Amino acid sequence: MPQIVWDPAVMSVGHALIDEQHIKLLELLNNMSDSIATKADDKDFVKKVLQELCDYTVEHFNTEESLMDPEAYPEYDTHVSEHMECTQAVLDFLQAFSEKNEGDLREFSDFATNWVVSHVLGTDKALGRFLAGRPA
Amino acid sequence: MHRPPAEEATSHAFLGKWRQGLAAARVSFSTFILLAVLGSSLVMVSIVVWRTQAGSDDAGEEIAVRMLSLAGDHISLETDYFSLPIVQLRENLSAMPQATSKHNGFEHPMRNTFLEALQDIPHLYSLYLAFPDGGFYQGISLRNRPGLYQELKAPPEAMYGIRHISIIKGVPMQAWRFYDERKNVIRETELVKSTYDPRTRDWYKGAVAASGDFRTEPYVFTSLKNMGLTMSRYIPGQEPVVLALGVTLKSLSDFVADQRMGKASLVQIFTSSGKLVAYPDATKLLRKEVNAEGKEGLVTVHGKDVGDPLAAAMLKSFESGGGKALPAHEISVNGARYLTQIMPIRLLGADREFVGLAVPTTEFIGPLERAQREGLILVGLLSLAVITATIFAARTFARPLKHLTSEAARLSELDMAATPSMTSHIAEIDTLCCAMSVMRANFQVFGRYLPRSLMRNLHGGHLAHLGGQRREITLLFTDVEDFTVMSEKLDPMELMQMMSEYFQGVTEAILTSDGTLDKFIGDAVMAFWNAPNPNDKHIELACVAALRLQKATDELNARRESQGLPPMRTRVGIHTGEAVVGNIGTDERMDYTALGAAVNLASRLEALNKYYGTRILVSKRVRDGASGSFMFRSSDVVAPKGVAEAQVTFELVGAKPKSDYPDVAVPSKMLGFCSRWERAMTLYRTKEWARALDEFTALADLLPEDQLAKRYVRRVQRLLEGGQEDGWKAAVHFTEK
Repeated sequence: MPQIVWDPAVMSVGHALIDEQHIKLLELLNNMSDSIATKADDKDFVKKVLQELCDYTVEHFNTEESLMDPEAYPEYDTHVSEHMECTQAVLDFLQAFSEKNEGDLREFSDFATNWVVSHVLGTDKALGRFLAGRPA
Repeated sequence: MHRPPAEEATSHAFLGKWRQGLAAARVSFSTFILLAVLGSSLVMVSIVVWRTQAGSDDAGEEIAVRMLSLAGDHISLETDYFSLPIVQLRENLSAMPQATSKHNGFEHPMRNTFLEALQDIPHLYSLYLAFPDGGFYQGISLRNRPGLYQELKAPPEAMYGIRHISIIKGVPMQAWRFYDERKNVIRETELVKSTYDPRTRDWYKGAVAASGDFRTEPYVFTSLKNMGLTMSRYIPGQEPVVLALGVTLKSLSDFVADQRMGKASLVQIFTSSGKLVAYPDATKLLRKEVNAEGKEGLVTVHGKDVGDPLAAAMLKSFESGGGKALPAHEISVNGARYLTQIMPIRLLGADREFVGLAVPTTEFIGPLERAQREGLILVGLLSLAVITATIFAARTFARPLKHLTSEAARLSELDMAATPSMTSHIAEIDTLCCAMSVMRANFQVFGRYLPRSLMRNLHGGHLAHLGGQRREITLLFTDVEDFTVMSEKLDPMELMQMMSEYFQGVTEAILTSDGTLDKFIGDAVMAFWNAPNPNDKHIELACVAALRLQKATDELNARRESQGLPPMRTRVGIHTGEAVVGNIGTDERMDYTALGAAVNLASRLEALNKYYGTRILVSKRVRDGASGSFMFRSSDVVAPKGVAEAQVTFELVGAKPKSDYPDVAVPSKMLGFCSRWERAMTLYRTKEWARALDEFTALADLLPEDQLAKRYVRRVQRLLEGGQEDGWKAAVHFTEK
């Protein structure tokens, strides 16, 4: 998978903090796919990169969810469900990869990248718009 | 002649098909009864009608012949009464010595005798004596002969007349004397020349030739210009004389007319050659004829020419019979049937004359035919009544039968809804109705012991034998917390009551989501989906069943708590895997159930709820299969006792927003909690235990009643304290159940 380049015109959701975190996330995803391509043999390195990615994802979702008011934000349910699904997919992969040494890293990397991009362009943008429309 | 094989085959095929069609024919009960009764009545009635018809026809004929015979006898008798006085008179008169006396003008010793005879015998027209010299002495009765008065120029009061022809100076001279009723002379004519010579007449010549008795054929009486016939006798002696007595054909015709049996019948007298002597309508008897000498005269017609087809038919019969007497036989004239008899008669001493009697058969058998007709109508009406009664009866029988039939059909479809029962006066049908009700009640009871889907499959003819098949199914187990302890404190009735109420909610949740309720094991319930009937949504349906039964139980427990009763908290385990599904046991006692490792795992999952403080634990397969509609939170990676491989387990939280199951949706505030929970779990799994502890602690604070959060707090605390790093695996192994 080629590296994703952050293009603010395309990927900005209109919220500074979220955008910042998205940039960082994409960077980690790019690292992941790069390490798969170049350093596949170094298991520990790969594990470390994976861990970083997972941890940051957790933090990012936390941030976004703390910005969402369950009562005010109409897309709250869908947005949170998506986060949860993604997290569970990550857990699935972790379980398979770490505990049983199964799991295709490349596949996971591709999945994660695709998921992030489509989530940012769709769900996160909607959040951005909502946040922009509300007084702080 | 042997038919070609192809032809034979076709005819066999046709016969076979016909026989097949007959074997498969179905007729309703009412129709059958109706046809049977109709058929047998028809046969019976036809036979009876045919026999009585034939019988009465024969009887009728017999009656007719006898009656005709009697009529014939009567006519003979009447003819005798007609003839006899005249014949007797001839005897008496000819025996009298005065018979041969010659008259002197109007005087004759037998004059008064003549007058008396005319008075006594109404049908005697005249009687006379003829002498060899041409003398003539005659008595005539004018009674009922109106034409005579004019002819003889008799006074209106005259009843009798005496004529004499005397030869005076060689010239025959005649004169008339007329008498009234009392035989008083009322007028006398003058002597005039007579043109009448008795010696030329047939009656005279015949008697003389016979030297005895003679009877003429019908001929024209000079005086009357009418026809009659005369019987005469030659009285020998020194001065022979011919005595004669005459009757008119009209008298004879009146006589035969009287002898008829009704106007439609015929009595006629005819000679052996068929010429009529008497016929009921005298006017038809005669016709004008020009004789050999060119003189116009009257003659009697032949029976064939009288203008009566009946008379003609009778004569035809007579001729074909050889011109002899004929016993009663039937002739047909213009479509009407007559019974005819021809008998010889001696009319005024003549032989070779016959009287024929023809009576329409309806005269005799009319009443009989009427009775027959009435009988037929009665039979017809009775048959109609019988048919109506049969239709009614058949319907009455058919109604309970139809009810029974539809009941039986419904039962065979396993439709056990009750219907109002029927009774019948027919013992067997009534018994059947009762038996059917009992059977239905039994089925209803049986049905409670069997899953409905299983029953329907049984009905379809499958599954009735031992054996099973491998299939992926979703299994669900439930159990009540601390049930044994609870049950020991209650009395049996209370316990049963409690269990009924509890199971009502649980089973309803399972059945309404098309689950197969396999068995109750004490307070536990085992159910599965995708067997016996396949169902694509088996995983989803099991999940919604679990959520619903928890909801129902929660409602029950709320009620129980308000009544001060302990709650019945339920644990649920769900797993999807391959199992052997089918009938296990023996032929006498079969159990439709599932066997295999998957069953075991589902049961263990249910038990694990105890340890984690969760309510519904499911395996990864279930989460993967139902994540489209349901939300799960990661529970643990665990290998329960007896399960080799560690299972990733989840807790079923509820239905996702906008799923098909809004009644069991996850509350909104739980969404945030669950999302955060997964993140905490990720930290835990990536061994970020410090951050994990923070998160789990926060979550435990958010939801104080969540046992799982507390457990993870303790677990991570221990991990932090214990310092296990490298070989750590998330999987937990249980050595006990």
